Amino acid sequence: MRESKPVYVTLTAGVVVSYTLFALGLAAHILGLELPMLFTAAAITLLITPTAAVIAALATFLAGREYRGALLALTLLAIMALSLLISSMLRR
Amino acid sequence: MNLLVVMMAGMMAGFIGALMGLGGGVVMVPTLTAVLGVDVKEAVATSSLCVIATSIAGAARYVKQGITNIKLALFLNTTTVAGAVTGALLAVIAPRTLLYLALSAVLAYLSASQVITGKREEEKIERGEFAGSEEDKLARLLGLSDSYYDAASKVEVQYRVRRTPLGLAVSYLAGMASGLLGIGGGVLKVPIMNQVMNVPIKASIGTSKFMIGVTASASATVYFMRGLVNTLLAAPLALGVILGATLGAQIMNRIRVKHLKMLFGGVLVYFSYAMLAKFIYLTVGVALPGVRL
Repeated sequence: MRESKPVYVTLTAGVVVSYTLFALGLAAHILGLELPMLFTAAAITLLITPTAAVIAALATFLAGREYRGALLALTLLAIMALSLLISSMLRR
Repeated sequence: MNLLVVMMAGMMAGFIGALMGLGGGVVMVPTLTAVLGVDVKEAVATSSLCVIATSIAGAARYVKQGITNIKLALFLNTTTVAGAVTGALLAVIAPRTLLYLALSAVLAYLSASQVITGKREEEKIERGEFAGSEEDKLARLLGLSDSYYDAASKVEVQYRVRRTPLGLAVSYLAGMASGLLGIGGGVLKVPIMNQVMNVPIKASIGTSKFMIGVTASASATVYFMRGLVNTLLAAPLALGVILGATLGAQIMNRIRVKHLKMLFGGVLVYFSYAMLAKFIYLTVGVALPGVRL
């Protein structure tokens, strides 16, 4: 599948970046240095990676004129945005 | 806090999660609460962030191996996410006691079915029967059917997706059960794809792994924004999870289908027991061992 490579690259980048940031933050903590921004950056990387993978699939579907796949990715992104909006409104 | 214990728990959760297409919260939350004395809210929030780690680490390997059906994952996730929101909304008013009992029965059935069909699925792969089935109109229209290389059988397995509307509806219910009862989605997504939609078990696991990250990111974002995620705890857990998930995803495709289905059946038995334990606890107040109530 053509959409596989960009999705794979996005997922792998998310894994490598979050792993590196968590490892650096943990190493600093063990050495007595507190660098919480490294943990925060790692957590944010994890949080955005799945959505980034869906966007990568969407971009590749569009580039390959595979509009059925693009429609699926777009629908999912819209539902995710809506669910996040509903959840944050209800939890206030 | 013992960083090594947290990391080992993460590794185990990541390994099991990658092998079975699950999130791994079933290992992480009890370890954090029972072994390390972490508050349950903080444990659930931190574990939800690490579920994303198991998902993306496992999914990266499965996408590379061509096991994940990305279109099917996107398609089913549309209703799973919507179902999870509905479940979370209904959680306030719905009587959960009977739902635990119903889900326990469904999981017991799915477990038995996984074990019974293990050998049959291997025969289906050998005879190319997954490709012989007639795909439905929606699956054809969206181009959902796919194939993957089975490293254990050394064959390219082609499959045609069937009963798409039913799969979509059941995915919605699975999302709702996840929102209502707080169980992970993978335990229901894998059998739905495998037993309802004619997707081989390995492709179901690879596809579920991709789906879990998308659904978990929505809840984990809410936890993170509310400051419930303990990032110092998440660090060793995520490091272990990523290592375990990478290892699990590396070996999954080499395991024989019947053994994989037997393992998955065993995991479903545990979940069935856990749901039954919650039902018993809520109705008669007796706490059964081995379950976080």
